[in-house]
Formats: sequence, C-alpha cells, structure tokens
Amino acid sequence: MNEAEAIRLAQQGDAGAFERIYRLHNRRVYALCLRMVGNTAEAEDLTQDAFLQLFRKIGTFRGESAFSTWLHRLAVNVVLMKLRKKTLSETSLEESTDPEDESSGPRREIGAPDLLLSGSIDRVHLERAIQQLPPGYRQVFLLHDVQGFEHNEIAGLMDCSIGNSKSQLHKARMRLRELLQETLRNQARQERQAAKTSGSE
Amino acid sequence: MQCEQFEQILEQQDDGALPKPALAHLEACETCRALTADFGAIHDMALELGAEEIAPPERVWISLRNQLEAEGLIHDEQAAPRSASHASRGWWAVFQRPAIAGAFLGLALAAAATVSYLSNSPQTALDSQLTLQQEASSVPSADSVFKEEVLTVGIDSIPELQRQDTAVTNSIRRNLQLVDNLIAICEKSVREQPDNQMAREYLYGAYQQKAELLATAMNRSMTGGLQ
Repeated sequence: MNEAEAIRLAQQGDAGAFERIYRLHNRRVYALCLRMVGNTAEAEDLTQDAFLQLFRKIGTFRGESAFSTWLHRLAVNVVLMKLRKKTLSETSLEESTDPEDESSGPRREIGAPDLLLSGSIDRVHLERAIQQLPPGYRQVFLLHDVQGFEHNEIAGLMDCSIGNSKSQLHKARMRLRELLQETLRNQARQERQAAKTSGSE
Repeated sequence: MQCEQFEQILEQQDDGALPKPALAHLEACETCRALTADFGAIHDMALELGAEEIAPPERVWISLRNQLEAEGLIHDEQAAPRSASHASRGWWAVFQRPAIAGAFLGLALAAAATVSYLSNSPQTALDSQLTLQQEASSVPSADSVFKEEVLTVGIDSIPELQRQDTAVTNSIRRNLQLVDNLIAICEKSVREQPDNQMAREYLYGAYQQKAELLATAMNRSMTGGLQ
C-alpha cells in the first residue's frame, strides 16, 4: 500500500491504512519531538498527540501540499503548543530573560587558543550542547538548522518577528560554539593528563 | 568594519550572501573567519541530525490505536458488523464467566488503589487502601486475582477466536505479545525503582492495555460465536 492509497483509505477510516501512515512517518515525528523536548516520556506523548490530531483531520487533507510537510508542520505545532503552555512563565521569545542572552560574543579563556570546530565535533557533542541551550534558542535552532524551516515560517509558528527569529538563531549558534569549544578544551585537557600519567609510569 | 558590525551583518544575512564590506573584513580578520567556519560546521552537523530518524517504542502505537478506536475514528474491515443487542449479549456473556468477572473486578480495585495511592497524601492513601482491602475481602485478594486471571490469560485461552479469521487472531496475538513484553519491562522498572511514579504509571497503563486487548478478543469470540 503506497502513501497516497493509505491516505485515501485512512480518510474512510481503514485501520490498516492508519497503521501504514503511522509506520511511514513515526520515526521522523518522534525524532523531532524528542529533540524539541529532550525527554522520552514527553516525546512519546507528543508523538501520539501529533498522530491523533493528524488522523482527526485527515479527512480535510486535499493533497495540495506534500503529506509529510503537512504532518511535519502539525507535529511542530503540537510540540510548540505544549512547550508554550509549559514555559509560558519561564521564557518569552520577545524578551531576553536569560542572563546568558547578554553575552555579545563568545567568551574566550585568556591564553587559550581558538579551537576550530570543523572536523572536531560529532553528533553526540552537538546533541548534548543543544540540550544545554535555553529553551527559546533551542527551539529556533532546531526548527531552522535541524528541521530546515525558513525564518518567516518560524516567525509564523512561534508567533514572533522574523528579526527575532534571526537574532535567536544567531545567539543559539554563538552559545553552541562556546559549549562545543569548551568540550574540545576538556577533551584536550584530559588527553594531556592521560599522556602525563602514562609518561610518569 | 569592526568585528561587532560584522557579527550584526552575519546575524541578519544568515544564510544569504554577505555584502562586499563584510567580505573584505572577513578576508582580513582571522577571528571572524574562525567564527563563520564554526557556524558552518555547526550548520552541517545540524543538517545531519535533521535527517536522523528514531523509532518510538511500540507502546505509542498501541496507545494511539486504542485512542483512535475509542474515538470511533477507525474501523477494522475484518471485524464482522454486529448489532447493539449482539454486542451487549456478548459482553454480558463475558461477565458471566466467574474467572473473567473476578479479573475485571480485580482490575477495577487495583486501578482504584493505584489512583488513590498516587493522588492522595500517604496517610489518606493508606486509609483508602485499607478500606479497599476491607471491601475486597469478599473477593479473595483482588490484586492476585487480577494478576492470576488477567495477566496469565493469553489468546490461546479463547478458543472461539482461533476458529475465526487468522489475520485478526494473528494481529491480536502480536499486540498481546507486545503488551506482555511491555508489562515485563515495566514490572522490572518498578521492582528496581519502587518510588518512581512514572514507572508505576507506565505499568498501570500496560495492565490496562492488556485488559482492553483481552476484552476486545473475547468480545470478538463471543459475537463471532453468536452469528
């Protein structure tokens, strides 16, 4: 059963078609939810919510846009709605509530050389660093750099200005750079210590 | 151009082409070259992350399917249509079986005790559990009845169903296996972390899913037998 056929049958309430659609897209949707919330239990709930909303609305899908794009946007909306409810009092995109927001450039250790990230970072490091970002930065970074949304789309999804989206993204990248450089410095320090220990033995 | 101005342009231009003065600055400034190179490395790695897929646990689908069925959004083509009277006769017949009736009573009491324990203060929860235990004294150990009667029931215990459509039987069998695995994992988590509320909730949800699946299977067998 291909996707178009599954959509047609799902619009008629066919159980097998619903499962087919779920199996085709669940990995992308779950990955998106997991990255956005950083918690498996919440990501599972959000994945279920996203598909539930999709199946409730599937009768209205007319095929003008790609089904995966429609689902993707719907999943992002579900996640953002949840995050908005959860962090309404903690975070606002239009104001810089995070004290780390004020940093205008990367903080550099005096005497420490700049470490170029190219070729030195891997996915694990980046994922860890992303989870350390303040929520507002993380959401814009994930939507733009990871999920590939444009600033005008992010502005619509997050109910903020395009300029604000750009500013948050820039700050997110700056903060990620700091975090990743810190990781590389720690690694280099550990390697030096290990070399010293093995040399003295 | 100063580095600060360059950063401002970089922020606004984002992925677009930089204007000539910014490019000239970039050529001359090692710090800003390192910055743009790092941004590029982060962006490239982020794209790789975006292409990555992660499979959710099977319980997400089981729970979603239950919800879709509860809302009447899906119907199984293989399920034979049945009248309301048949359905109610089927359910009544199910509850006329003493073991199954005991199991469902056990489930209800276990669920009530769990909810009471989770939502009340420890003292109140203790009181409620004592009351429930007293009420349940006429039904020997509700929790053990539930565990013995429901958790040990498998699809093989419902012979009528096996005579029906093999595809339906196999589907239910697969789902039961998944739920049994989930119960085993949840029970292990609860044993290892008895104070973990989330683990208890998952276990409770898994018990519910098994009871619902068995109810569906029994309902099918009864209505199938009546037709």
